[in-house]
Amino acid sequence: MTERGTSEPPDAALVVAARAGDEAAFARLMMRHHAGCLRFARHQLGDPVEAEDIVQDTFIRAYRALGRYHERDGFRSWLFRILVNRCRSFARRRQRRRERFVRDDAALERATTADGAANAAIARRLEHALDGLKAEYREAFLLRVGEELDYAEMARITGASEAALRMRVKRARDHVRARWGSDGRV
Amino acid sequence: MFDDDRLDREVRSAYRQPADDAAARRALERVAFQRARAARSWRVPRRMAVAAIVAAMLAVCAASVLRPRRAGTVARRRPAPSVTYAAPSHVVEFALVAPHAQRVAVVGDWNGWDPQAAPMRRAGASWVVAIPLARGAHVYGFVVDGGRWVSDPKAPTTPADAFGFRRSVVVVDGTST
Repeated sequence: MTERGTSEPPDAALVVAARAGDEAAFARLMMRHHAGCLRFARHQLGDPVEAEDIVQDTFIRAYRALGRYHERDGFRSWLFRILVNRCRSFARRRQRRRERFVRDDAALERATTADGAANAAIARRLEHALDGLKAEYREAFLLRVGEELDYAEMARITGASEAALRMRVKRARDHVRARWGSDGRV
Repeated sequence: MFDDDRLDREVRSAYRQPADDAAARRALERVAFQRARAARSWRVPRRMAVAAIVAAMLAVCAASVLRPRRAGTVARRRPAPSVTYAAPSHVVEFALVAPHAQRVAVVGDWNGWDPQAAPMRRAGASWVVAIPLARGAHVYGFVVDGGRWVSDPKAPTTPADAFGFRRSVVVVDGTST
């Protein structure tokens, strides 16, 4: 990892500064990783409102746990491990409330209207393709295809073996392929 | 039928919607609120921090007699307490035993906690650097291999902060020989 000659400081440097009390450094870390965390949570949970709340909770927990962070994990992986666990906890609570794990079209519309109708349509198409996927398949697929993480990193985040993750991604891809549609329509 | 690469590209394109700046701002505000709330609850520890600095100032007198020019020397086992010395030039020598480290830096309130500002040089199993410091109390730590924070086990520390993290304290009084 190079830490010199770049206009943006690496995550590790921002973590050091944040630990030392530099609040702006933690804010920069948040802004750097918020978009990735939010899109993962939205698609993993199918509920943009809950996703935003969980991402906020993830950052608060990360802030409190920053003293226990070790660089060997990579900040993004470490943050995603917290996020994935928060998403899983939410899913369990939702299941206990006997709510169905379905996409929330109305909430999705509210969350994407600001980005324009085209983006909303794209989001709906992806949600349609993901709909019905088991949570662990969806999780693996989003981390691999959406976030482009390698399997070793995914294993550290999810606690699953690389072989299991490869199988989940394959099955998820087959599911998505069958629902994706080649003409761009849902 | 799509091949895997094409499917992945199209899915990724749909997945990566534009960033939601409003949501990011709301997240910042919520963390800031939590931070402010935590800071209020840390008023007592902050008073303890002042006490630690005062204790360090008292200890510097003994340290200047017992160990006049060496500070921050680290042992694997718990060492006797010591404090960085204060030379007439206010140059403080920091040292950390870290035989397996690839790089070590000292960061503190005087250099903006910048790991690039004061890299240490290897001296056997130790890493050392001499830093001119202004008179007064300073807090600092070591950054090993770019991201691992290490407090100085030979120096007094502040109470744990909101991150559960303790900073080392050095007092420069400018009166030592």
